[in-house]
Amino acid sequence: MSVENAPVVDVDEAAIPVEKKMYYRFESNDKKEFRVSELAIQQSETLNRLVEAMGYTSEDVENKPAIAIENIDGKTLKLVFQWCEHHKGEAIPVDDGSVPKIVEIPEFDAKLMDIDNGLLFKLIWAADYLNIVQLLNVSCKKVANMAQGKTPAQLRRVYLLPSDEEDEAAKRAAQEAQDPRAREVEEEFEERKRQGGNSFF
Amino acid sequence: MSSTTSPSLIDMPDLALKEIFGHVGWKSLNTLRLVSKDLCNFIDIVKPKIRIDSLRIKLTPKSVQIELNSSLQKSKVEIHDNGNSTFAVSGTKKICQGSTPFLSVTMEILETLLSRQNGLIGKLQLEIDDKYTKGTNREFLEKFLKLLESIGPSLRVREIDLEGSGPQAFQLLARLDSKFLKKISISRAFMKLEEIRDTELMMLEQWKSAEQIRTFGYYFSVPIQEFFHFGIAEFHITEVSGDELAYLKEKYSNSTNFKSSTIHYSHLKDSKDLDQILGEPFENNVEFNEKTWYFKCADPDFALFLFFGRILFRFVRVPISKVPKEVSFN
Repeated sequence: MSVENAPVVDVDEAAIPVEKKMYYRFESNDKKEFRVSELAIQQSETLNRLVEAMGYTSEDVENKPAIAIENIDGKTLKLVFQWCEHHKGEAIPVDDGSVPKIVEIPEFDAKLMDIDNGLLFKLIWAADYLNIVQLLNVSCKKVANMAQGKTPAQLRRVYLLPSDEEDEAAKRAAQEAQDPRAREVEEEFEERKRQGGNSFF
Repeated sequence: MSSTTSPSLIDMPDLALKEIFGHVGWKSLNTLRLVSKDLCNFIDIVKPKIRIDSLRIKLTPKSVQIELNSSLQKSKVEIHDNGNSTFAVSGTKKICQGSTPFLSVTMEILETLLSRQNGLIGKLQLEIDDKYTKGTNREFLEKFLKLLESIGPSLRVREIDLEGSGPQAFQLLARLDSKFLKKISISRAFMKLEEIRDTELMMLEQWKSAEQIRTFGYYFSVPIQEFFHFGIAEFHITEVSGDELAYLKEKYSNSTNFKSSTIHYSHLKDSKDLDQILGEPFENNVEFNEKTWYFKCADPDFALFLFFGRILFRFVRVPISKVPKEVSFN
């Protein structure tokens, strides 16, 4: 099955599936709605527990508001649900250390994750948040594979990492935004140090 | 997480970072430490697990070479004993120098690697120099076995390749997890043959459950039955009899996991005519004293081929399609 044909449905884009299975409705933080089969939801420990706790009937899933997933945007959630639909019914791997962990990336997953690195990181974050073990495994493997043969500068670019200087500057800016006096205090401190005194203390 | 900003690697949850670092390999992990302070701190504190595809340790009286293949990336370090000091070199870079004895430095490096091993080691290769039980070798092996004991119940290795003595092979094999060990290779350097008379080695669960054996430089004065269970085998046995060959033929033709075995021998124990025991050969080269046979297997898609020569015989399970048309099975 191709990535494009995975049975995740944006309600405004496709018809409601005719199967008599229960389809839950979820809403991303940017108000995109998705219908996801019961079986696909089982790939996510978090969502599975949530829907079990809600105890919705088939009428409820149609009539009640969509279940909000506030931390994940529509673009990411679509990938998550496409993955869950494709892998529905598959056993969830258990990593208890008793057998060596070998992660292979299936063709479908490789195509699904052929996305920009920023979105890939969001997908990992979502897989972790929703506790989708195998999606987390394959997406982390994909990110790990990117490190092969790279220099520190290349790794910084690939992994969207700031340099220490940029990081410091960002932290300073964030601190200043919170407390405008902080910069002045820091400058005052530096000035006193330059003057050689420890009267600051 | 905001829907507008792109997260970076360092924004990933700890579980995901550990998972990612568990796949990047030792070399990339160390490169990542150079990327930023935050990453360096995370890696140093969390000490992520690494995958070890192979680990080769080569010992000489004054140095140890450690070659690591982790997530398909190779790294190499050499630790040298320089009289009163020790220095370690990785590539062209000197990575440490001091007065710590070179075997202690070696053990520190090995401990760092083995304690962070994730899953199982594809291949562990240990080359001890030809002095075997003397000097540095003895000290190294004592320390290494102690290290293995300290880092866990038993080391998970798929393949062990030891160049050393029989007792050393026994000591090392005993420290490996029998559930994961598939292939055993033991050899001796410089053609100094060693005879193995007792079956202590064969009593090990690691020996019994392995699927492949390859030995070089040893000759075994033990019952040939100790080798029956291997799907692929190459070894040297002191004596073999025609009846044992017939027994091997029965075992191998009924086995589903047998692939091939090459058995070197020193003496044919009795003078019984092999033709009487095994039937008429398919080929008989009187000049070179070489014969071949084909036998039926329990699985009709396969046949068992036997080559018998002056110094070795070889059984191979072959697809029935590869059997010459002229062969008639008795």
